Amino acid sequence: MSQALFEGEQLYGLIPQRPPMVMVSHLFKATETEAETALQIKPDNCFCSDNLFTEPGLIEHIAQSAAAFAGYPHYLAGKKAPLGFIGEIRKFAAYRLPEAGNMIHTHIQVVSEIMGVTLIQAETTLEGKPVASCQMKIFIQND
Amino acid sequence: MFKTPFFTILSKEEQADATVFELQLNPDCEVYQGHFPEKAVAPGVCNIGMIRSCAEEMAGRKLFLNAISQCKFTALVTPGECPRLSLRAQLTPIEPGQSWKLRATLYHEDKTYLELKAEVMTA
Repeated sequence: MSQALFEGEQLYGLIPQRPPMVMVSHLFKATETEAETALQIKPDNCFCSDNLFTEPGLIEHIAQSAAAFAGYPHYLAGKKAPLGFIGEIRKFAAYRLPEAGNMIHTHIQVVSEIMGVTLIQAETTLEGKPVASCQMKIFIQND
Repeated sequence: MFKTPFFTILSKEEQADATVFELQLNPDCEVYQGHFPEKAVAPGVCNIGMIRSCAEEMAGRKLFLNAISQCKFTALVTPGECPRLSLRAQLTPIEPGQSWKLRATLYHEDKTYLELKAEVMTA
């Protein structure tokens, strides 16, 4: 994997969430229509239970991957990370739960963008194998 | 999991076609330190986790949320302003004892916050 554009606390420039609710640790790529992110799952992650990273954590990781993607142009324009909210989740499937210590990767693809609502398709993998996928409608609150 | 629980179940009532829970959100849960520092908003995914916990209460076992066909978030849940929520949930067996359809609505009085259509299976 190539070097990250943003890593760790650098992501705070792209997303409004702060610990313990930060569920994205790397942004590898961001274009106008897609992004590549990752999360290094620490054992003290608040969505870990019995050493497994649970379904709400997977969904939040996807939402924040989309938030980092949406925040990137704001960052480039020298603006603060916008607040974003999930409007709808569709077609979510979880295939297995990653373990603490794993690093999961997510590919975000924009499906459509209409009136401030972005519909994205996300695929999350662990070592190349599918972990979860979903579509998400996200509202970004612009100033 | 959170050191300070995200919610507590105040009551559970079996109705003819659904189970209704009364829930209390905990504004002191550490999740609000980061979601968001300037405005406490209950994360949508934590509301989904809370619904799964209630479904586990209904099924009497640990459940894996393997699919969500649709989850609509229709209003922001802010623990300072609306700490009390009601949840109406239905579990319909797909394969008895193995997997269920889960339908749930999170609301307070006449305001709906979340509508979920999902599938769960024995964890």
